[in-house]
Amino acid sequence: MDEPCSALDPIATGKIEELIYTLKDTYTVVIVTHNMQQAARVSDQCGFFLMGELVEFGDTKTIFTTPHDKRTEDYITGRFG
Amino acid sequence: MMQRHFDQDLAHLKQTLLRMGGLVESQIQQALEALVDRDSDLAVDVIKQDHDVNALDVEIDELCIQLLALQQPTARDLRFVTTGMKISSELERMGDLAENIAHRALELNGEPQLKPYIDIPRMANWTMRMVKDCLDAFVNSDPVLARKVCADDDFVDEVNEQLFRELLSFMLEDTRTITRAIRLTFVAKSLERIADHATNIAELVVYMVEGKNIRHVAPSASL
Repeated sequence: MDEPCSALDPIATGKIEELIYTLKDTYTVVIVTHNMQQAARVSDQCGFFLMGELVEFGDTKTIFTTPHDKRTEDYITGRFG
Repeated sequence: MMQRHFDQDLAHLKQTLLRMGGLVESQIQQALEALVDRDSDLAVDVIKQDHDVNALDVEIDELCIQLLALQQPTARDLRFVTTGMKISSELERMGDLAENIAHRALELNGEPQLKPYIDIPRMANWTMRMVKDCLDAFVNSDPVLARKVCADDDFVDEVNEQLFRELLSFMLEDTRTITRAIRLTFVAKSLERIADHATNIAELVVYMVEGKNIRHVAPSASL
């Protein structure tokens, strides 16, 4: 799914995300999103790409609580740039 | 209302907190039995249980941090998760105090009983009811019961004060009673602290339900 919830309101986003939860019992779902909260909520594993380079990949729990790469940390905390 | 996946996580957090609460309740109960029935084996059991309580504290902490980071809870969900974290710390402290009582019971059981235990069980029963009530208030999101727990704390403070004076008179009369009397004051103090932690949980429940902070304010302003 490429930006599955862009421009959707919270209610519609909630419905899509619940659908993703249902789908992930039987399918592997790959999502591209610029919405950090969404990446945190719906994924089990998460990768951070910067300018085409895969900076970090790991358990979503780890990425969002104790990321290993400083660039990942700066990005998800909104300090990038 | 839409059922969210997040609700299952919140339910799990609640269950884990209740499991911890149940464990601490039985720890306090058994610490008292160990003292009153002079059952040192039971005291050792209570001391061992503290490890499980500590493990649950760590587990709940991790769970809450994960929920905060991954779900970005807001409004009452946010209050629930942050309150859950604090309740876990309060329960952990209660467990430590129950362990303290068990240690004092071990020491006291090795000496002749100073006096019949009347006020301590009375104080303990009252304290244990406060613990049960604050956990019930949490489960049922009941601010009325929570406020009752806060008011109940005064009685425990009074009995603690009364016990202290009584034990002091023992010590003044006969210096051979000092060691035992001091150990018993520690037991009473631990119970009084447990009641304080129950009060803290009750105050947290009021915040969780109403979003209103009643901590560290004059009693009249908290109603």
